[in-house]
Amino acid sequence: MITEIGEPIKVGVVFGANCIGGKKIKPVWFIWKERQYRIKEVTYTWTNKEGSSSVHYFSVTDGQNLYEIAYNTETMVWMLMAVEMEG
Amino acid sequence: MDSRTIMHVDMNAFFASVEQQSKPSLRDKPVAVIGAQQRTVITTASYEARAYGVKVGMTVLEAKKLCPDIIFVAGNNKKYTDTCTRLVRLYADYTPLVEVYSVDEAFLDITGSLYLFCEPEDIAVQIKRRIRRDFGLTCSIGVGPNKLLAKLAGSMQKPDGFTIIHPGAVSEILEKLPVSELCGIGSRLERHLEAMGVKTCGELGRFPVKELENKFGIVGKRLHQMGLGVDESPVVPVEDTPDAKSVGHSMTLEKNVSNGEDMERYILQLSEMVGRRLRRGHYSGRTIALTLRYSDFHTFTRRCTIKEYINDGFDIYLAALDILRMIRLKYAVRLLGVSISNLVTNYCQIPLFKKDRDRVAIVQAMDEINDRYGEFSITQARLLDRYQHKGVIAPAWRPAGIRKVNY
Repeated sequence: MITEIGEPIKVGVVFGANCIGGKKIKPVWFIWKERQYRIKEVTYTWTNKEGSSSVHYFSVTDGQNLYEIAYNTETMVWMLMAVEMEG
Repeated sequence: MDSRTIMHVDMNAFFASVEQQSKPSLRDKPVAVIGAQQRTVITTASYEARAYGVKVGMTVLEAKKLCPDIIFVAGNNKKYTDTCTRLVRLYADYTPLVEVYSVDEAFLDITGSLYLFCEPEDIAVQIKRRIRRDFGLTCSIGVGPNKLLAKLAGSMQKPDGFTIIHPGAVSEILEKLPVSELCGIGSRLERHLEAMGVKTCGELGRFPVKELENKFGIVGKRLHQMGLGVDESPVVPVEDTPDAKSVGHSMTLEKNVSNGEDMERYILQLSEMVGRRLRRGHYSGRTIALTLRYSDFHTFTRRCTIKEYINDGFDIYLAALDILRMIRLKYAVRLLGVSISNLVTNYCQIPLFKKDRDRVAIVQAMDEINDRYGEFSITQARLLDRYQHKGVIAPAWRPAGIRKVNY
């Protein structure tokens, strides 16, 4: 079941690492509500223009649930957009 | 022209494959991508779902009957259009002549690239490897001396296939091939041809051209050429695409409407969207068309041509309203569409009156705000509570130009 969140998060990212979609930016962990989530796999990435901002979306899993996180290049803020609980 | 080498790349079960790649628990399962709206049909089915007979265009109910374990996923058009844009950039590493045929298909003219890459197979292997590595997706690639045969070759092995039709093998391949296998010949045309005794491409190629022209007009000659495997159409890159003939938007409504006020609000929203896209492309038009689909699916379009060329959404709305007022509605409406044609580019008329000049300045300012902060960041007050339409990707969508719509 997908739950829309839309909250800012802290993200640990490796710049220059290969990521799916040909991106050179790979999120490794994020902190949401004071809990750290280690990213096991970045399953998909896409980029969307919102006005003049580019927002890079990452579909990631910690091995249990699926998360959609997004980076706004204009505001330089990471957001947890949605969570999909497996099962 | 037949000394060309054309490649056709077709992403396999594109939307479903993207969703299966995004969500590991969907992999190897029967998946169907549906529109994000309530009234929706299947837009793509995974190969696992296709094995049960699930097809594009089926309703959710029909698909569930065929495959009880099917998993429905609401489509995300931003994902698919962005992926297409990045795939096109990948193809451009092999040739500048890339034509986006649809969101999941492209033609590449690799005739000139063979000096660098030697064989079409080399290019195909590299493209497939990169798509698998960079996106986790597969594609079927066909190569032939023209677009018609390249697309036919690609369709011969799915998923993850690679087929070449060599010029010398064309007659043999087409001889017994049913005409419906050729792109451009649908079921209706197939029935007409069958009534004339033509079932295969071989028979079509041998059929007298004059009789085909008598029956089908100018299309008759084209059909004859198709039967022979001849297609001289060039691969047209997006930057060389001819100017748009019309610009429009339509939406299937969440609920059927017969209330005039509701209908006017939807038309205003559509008109604003059309106006934005026109101005982005520096187009203006003067033939406005309003399309309605009743609850019984009867669909019709009414047009009117005005004296002035316009691209202001409100002016388009007023013209569309005039059309609506001439229609005596029989049933509730489930779909509305507004489009404008008879287009010119860079039309410039300095308004005579101050209020019209102010209007132009307001529209320009609104465009600048919406360019900066996103669509409908500032809009007509009536649209503050507008319909959050999540449509399907239009067949005419392209990654650049007037046909690029940000979903």
